[in-house]
Amino acid sequence: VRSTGLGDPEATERLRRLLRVADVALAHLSPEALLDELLIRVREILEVDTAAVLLLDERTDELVARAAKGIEEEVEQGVRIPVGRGFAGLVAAERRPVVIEQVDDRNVLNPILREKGIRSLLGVPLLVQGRVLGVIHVGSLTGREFGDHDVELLQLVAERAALALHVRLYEHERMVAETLQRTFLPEALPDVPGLRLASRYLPATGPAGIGGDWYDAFVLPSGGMALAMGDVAGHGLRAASVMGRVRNALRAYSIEGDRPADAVARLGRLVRLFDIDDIVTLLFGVIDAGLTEFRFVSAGHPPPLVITSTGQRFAENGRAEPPLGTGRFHPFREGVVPLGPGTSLLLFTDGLVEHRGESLSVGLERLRSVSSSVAFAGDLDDAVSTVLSGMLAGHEPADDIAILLVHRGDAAVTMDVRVAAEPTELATLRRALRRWLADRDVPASVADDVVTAAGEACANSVEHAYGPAGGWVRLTGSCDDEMVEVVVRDGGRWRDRPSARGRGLRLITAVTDSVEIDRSASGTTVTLRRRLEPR
Amino acid sequence: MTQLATLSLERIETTAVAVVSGEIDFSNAQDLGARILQWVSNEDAALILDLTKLSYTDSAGINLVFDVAGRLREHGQAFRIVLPVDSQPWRTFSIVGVETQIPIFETIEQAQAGGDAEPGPSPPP
Repeated sequence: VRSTGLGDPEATERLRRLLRVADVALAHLSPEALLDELLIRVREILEVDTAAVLLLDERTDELVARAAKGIEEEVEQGVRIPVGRGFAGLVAAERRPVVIEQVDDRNVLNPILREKGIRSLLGVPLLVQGRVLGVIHVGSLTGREFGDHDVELLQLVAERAALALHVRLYEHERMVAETLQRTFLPEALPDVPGLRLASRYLPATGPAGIGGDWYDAFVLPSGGMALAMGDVAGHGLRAASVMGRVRNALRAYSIEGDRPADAVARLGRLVRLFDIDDIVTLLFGVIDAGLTEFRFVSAGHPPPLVITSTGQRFAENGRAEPPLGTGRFHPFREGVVPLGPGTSLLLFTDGLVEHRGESLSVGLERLRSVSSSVAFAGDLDDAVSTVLSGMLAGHEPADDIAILLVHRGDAAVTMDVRVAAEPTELATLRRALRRWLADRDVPASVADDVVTAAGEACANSVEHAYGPAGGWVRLTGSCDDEMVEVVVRDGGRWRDRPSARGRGLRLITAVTDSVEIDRSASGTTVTLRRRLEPR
Repeated sequence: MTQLATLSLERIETTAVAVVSGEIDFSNAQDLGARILQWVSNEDAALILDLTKLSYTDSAGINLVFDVAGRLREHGQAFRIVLPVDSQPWRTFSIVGVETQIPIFETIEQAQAGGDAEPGPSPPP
């Protein structure tokens, strides 16, 4: 039996100092590199032949070899030891140091340790706040009595290692969750003429960090704008991944049809079918292509705030629905918000309105009152900032917060829309034109004729103006008491193709009062005029 | 694949029925035409194109119906269109006189009943 020579308080103090230095030196290392460095030091200080760390896999309740010095095979072969069995399993199960003076096949499960000829072992648990993170153990090829001081030293190392690992593993998870969450938020909000959008996501401060809040905004095939605001209970990686699944499924369901109630009902079935037992609340709605209304359903989610020139109110859909997948199956009831020019919609998660020890209705009322002094017609990002600062009032958010603000622009006096010269963009141009004509109170039959003529002229630009490289089409409009004037421009060369589109010009001429076509080297300009009186 | 328009296909005895709702323009007309013609079998005596729920068409829609009409004529099959008066598509069709070459009816029942009529010079009042 060899004496360790480290049994004096002076040695303990030396180690303490060494570890403090190490803390700083190792601060930037990854969990793996950190463990490697620690084990090298442990081997030197304790004068042992092997040192290893096994970390707990909580899903299987097994210890997995993650780093080793002297018995590297343990890691290479991915040794897994069930908690409660063998030497390391015993350390983890009983959360106390274990010493084995003479290794045999009854007290050590891991064949590598036996094959290496390890005779004595000392293991201590890696503990953080009473939770077992793993086990660190050292071994000697010669018979050795590990004394109280050895145990104390190894525990000191284990304490430092556990703390550093905990922070790193937690940081790592937090980083992954944050990355994941970010990929599920829209990179850019869609650009629809007549609507302006702004959004913000704030992670919670403190240990909670990234949560399962998300928002989404996308244009449906019908030209409608889908808006979603959801919240998966909980935090971290799990909440972020559930959020991703729900968000993608909602996108898929919503392009099948324009009824929000159908999409959310399907989503609820999916959540139930796949045993997603996290609480998921959702507000989902669609603004129609004509921008006349917002139809929405809420599954346990706070209602949207509607801001008009006459005040602020929360939209009701007549019934409080439970979170996704929790209620008995029944069709969701849709709420409808008329969307006149100048109307704003504010969608949010409960982090914005909930304060500890306060009922939700108090928070909602605060939001209503904060919103009364916000200029929604100005810069929308500024409006979001004003709402946030008014609600947080200098506090850090305790829960994560998502906000989506949508503003229906005032009735435009003139129109100016430019799109890529793609066939699918023709519908975008017609929708913008219809909205503008409705805003200008142009009689419906006249509006139809203007859309017919302009649609035809735009189609001509898309079909004929450009080669395969493509280009752009611009549609502008102005209107006085007697006449609507619409101008279609492209930057291409007029190519006379003997296609059946010859009917196009006949249509344009029939529904307008004058047509001017100006073909130049830099492009084609078609000016259409139509009197306001119906024919 | 745009969903600017939706197409549903039915068959009533020996009449193929194609219902187009939404909008027709340069972006989807060719595809719609191909899918409609595919639906018509050799055994069908006629095709009814129901445009009751069509809210917009440009000249690409006119080309579509003339193309379909031409193909059906080659096979000796009748072609009728259902289109309510005063809709944007109806006015667009009437500008170029679609109804002088393809019979247009106000309802699907009239289109079915008018099955014996030859393509007439004008739609029923």
